[in-house]
Amino acid sequence: MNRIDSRQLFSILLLSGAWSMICLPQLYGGGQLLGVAAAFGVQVFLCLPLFRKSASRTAEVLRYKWLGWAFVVFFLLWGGRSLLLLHRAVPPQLLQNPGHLTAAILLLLTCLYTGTAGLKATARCAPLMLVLLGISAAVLIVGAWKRMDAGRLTLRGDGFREGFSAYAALSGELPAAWVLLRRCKEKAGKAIGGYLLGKLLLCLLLLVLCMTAGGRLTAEADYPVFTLTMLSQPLQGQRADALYILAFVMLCVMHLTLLTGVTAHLLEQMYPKIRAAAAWALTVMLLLACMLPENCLAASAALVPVLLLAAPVTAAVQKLQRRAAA
Amino acid sequence: MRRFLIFAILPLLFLTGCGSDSLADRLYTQAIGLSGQGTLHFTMQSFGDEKAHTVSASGIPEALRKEESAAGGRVFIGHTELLCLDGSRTLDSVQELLLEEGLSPSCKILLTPPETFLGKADCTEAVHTLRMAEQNGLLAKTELSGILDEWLGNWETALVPVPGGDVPGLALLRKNGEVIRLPQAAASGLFWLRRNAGNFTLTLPQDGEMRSVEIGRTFLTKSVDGGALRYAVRIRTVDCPEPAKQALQEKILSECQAALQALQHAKADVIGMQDALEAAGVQADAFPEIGVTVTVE
Repeated sequence: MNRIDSRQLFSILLLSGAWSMICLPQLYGGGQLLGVAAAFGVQVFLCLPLFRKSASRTAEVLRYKWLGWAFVVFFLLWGGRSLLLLHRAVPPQLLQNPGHLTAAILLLLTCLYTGTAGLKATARCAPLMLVLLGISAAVLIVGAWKRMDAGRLTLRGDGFREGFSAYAALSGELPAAWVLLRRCKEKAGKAIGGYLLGKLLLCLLLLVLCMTAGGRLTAEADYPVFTLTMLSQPLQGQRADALYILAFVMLCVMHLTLLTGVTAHLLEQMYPKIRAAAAWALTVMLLLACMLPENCLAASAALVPVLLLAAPVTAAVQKLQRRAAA
Repeated sequence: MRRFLIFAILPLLFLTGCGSDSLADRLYTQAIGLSGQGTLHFTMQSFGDEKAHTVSASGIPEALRKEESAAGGRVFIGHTELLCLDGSRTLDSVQELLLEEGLSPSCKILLTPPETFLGKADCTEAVHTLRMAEQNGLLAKTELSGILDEWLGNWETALVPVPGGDVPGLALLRKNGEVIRLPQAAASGLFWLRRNAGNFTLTLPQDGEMRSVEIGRTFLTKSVDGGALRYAVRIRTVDCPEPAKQALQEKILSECQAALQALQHAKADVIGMQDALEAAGVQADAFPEIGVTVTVE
């Protein structure tokens, strides 16, 4: 099996999480900062089993076929939700112009290609994409700097529940991390810790920028980060839209590739004779996005704690049963 | 499979769209004007073009398509420097231009009938006059994103420049299109009660002659005391004698008081009152009592 190192694991998880984050529907109110911090605490707790230095996590998932299928179903639902989010939240400059269909098809073809190429190839380019994300974030901050009003930054106000639920729902990468642990034999805990911290910092950065620089324009927007990118133009004579679009497309490709990649990996492990599993996975995600209502797809986030706890709990129960039998 | 995909994807590299458009096929707008009740009158002036062109349409997308057909090129409004409004078309149209059509958030707004202003006045000069007046401490800083933000506040009023003599004036524009022209003293006071960059030179009369005072930095603090708002303006000058400081302090204080009086009379929030009250956890149902102190150092 192709291995990935901890740097690549960290990059791939953070990039995938960043895409979900820039599609968040509500980012306003000081209470959200506290909600995000509380949800971060819950995620760290859920990840405790992942921090244990063990390379046999995927084996735990694959030992019980029902558990493997539970992971596959989750990834398919989560992928469907992501495709629906892509359709809804996409910035107007990208897909809503004439040529909408061409751009959507190209994006899906790219995902199909990267998904077929395998997770190893995706993991290799993830650190490079992370640099692009860093540059985009720096441009966003520079552009927003002159509009920032620190007086708007407060921990008062509503939004705790919204902040908590929105951040808690950004946990689709955690089951993927569980599957990828088998490939990352060294410092996997460090990579997952870095991912959780990086995602928290990115979310807080976006919240602070939306509150202080976006003001009421982002508070009233359906997808505030895209409104923030419209407002954050650091140069007078050169718009930064192209950079933001590039970052958005790359993050989207990375997110969908991770989901198709881990689904294909699990299916190939459970059924070694299966062919073109990534292409099938992407097709099923597309069908789910077309057929299932948004609420149903979004509710798949509730499966994350169940999946994260199911494998260690099942293993522990089996161990106890074996001891009792002995 | 991989080879097949590579052969399928390689030709897509040529579908960049770069070959279909040249710079000559595009129209880069320098100024845009919105006017008209019901039917939208959309006026547009491109960079390097001295004439403006007006079309009537039901909405902005239709107006842009009509402009494209008339001018023979794709319209790009991302670098627009000036937006002229006559008060009849306000929040929805401007918000649509920013968020849907990609109008520059730093675009300057001028409250004037676009059909008569654009095409006759020099847009470059109008924009430079606004920018220099803001940099030299003569006019409160305004731009598209800030104006939209003010309109979306509880008091639904924005501060907008209007063409004037040597220096543009200021007016309060309500979301419903009502215009309240501000007196000169109130307009000057708003410069200090809003964020400004500092580093400019002011001239003020003293002992029968005009004296220059170099302003280093200005600090604006807002505090809430029992439901009342207190603005504290602190101005740092460079090598300024004490009598000049005193004269400057009195002048700015009277301007700020004139500005607050005008805002209270119009029930308008263009100095971040709502944000300050919300940050302090005070619910702003009625227009608050406001006080100001000015310190020149």
